Amino acid sequence: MFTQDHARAISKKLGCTSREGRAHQYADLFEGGKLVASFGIRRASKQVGHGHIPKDLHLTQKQCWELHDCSMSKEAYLHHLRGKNLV
Amino acid sequence: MTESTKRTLFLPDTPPSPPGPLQYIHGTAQVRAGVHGGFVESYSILDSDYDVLLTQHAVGEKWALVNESEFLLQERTVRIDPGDYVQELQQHLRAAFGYTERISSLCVRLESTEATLCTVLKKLDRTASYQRPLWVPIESFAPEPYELTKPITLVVSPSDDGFEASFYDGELHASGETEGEAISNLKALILDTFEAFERLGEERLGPAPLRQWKILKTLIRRTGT
Repeated sequence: MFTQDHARAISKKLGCTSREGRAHQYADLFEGGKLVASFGIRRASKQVGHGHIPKDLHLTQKQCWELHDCSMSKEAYLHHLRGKNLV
Repeated sequence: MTESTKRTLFLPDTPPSPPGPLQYIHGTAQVRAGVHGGFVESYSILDSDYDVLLTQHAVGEKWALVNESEFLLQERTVRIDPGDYVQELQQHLRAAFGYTERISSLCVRLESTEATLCTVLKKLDRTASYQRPLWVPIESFAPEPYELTKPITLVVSPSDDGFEASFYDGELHASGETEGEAISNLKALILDTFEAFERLGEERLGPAPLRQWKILKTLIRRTGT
């Protein structure tokens, strides 16, 4: 289960910009000056589910864990987005 | 290896007469048998060299005396290796203990299987009630100063640890511990995204955000400041 800790780790790895929102803190990924992906991190004292993150990052669950676990680098992730014409 | 001789006494089917307590002594063997209505009910062998085979049984109360010719039907001599006999006895004992242990093990496994089955059934019940996605129409963002130009539909489905609400047209998803929280989070996310994209401007949006923006700006309109 993805939690806010996983979300923050991914945000840090991708070098995302942080943005405050109503119910979430957002992690925005800019590439070439353009926003290419964004995901919300819930504000909660305990660890809560963030099952939406893979969809927000245009990844499968497995790929998203790979991104978190370092087996997928930021470059590999951007390459993945380019392959989908999302960059 | 030592060998010994063991004889088998075959008791008659016909009753001894008259009915009552009986005792049979043949050579070194002493055999007691109980009869009721003439049928042998039980027996005990006083000489261990003999093994008695009963052919009929009945519940008896009285004992009768019988003579040798009535009691002894035939006598057979067999040669038995005591070593084999002990080995066979050990095998029987091992089998009996093994059987008991196996039954005990099976009982434990059965209890475990029963507990697992109960858990699976509970999960199935829960899954049956949760798995169906919920379609939730949204017609307003009140009290936020935004309105919808037309109603949108959110889809709420169970996720790892709660629920996930999705607005598929806008490619937006949010999680929550309950269906209501997931919907509320998604409505907040839609407005946050709308405001962020409006602030950034189309020139700073990549392909996916730009697509989302084009959808959102046709659906959402600001009503106040």
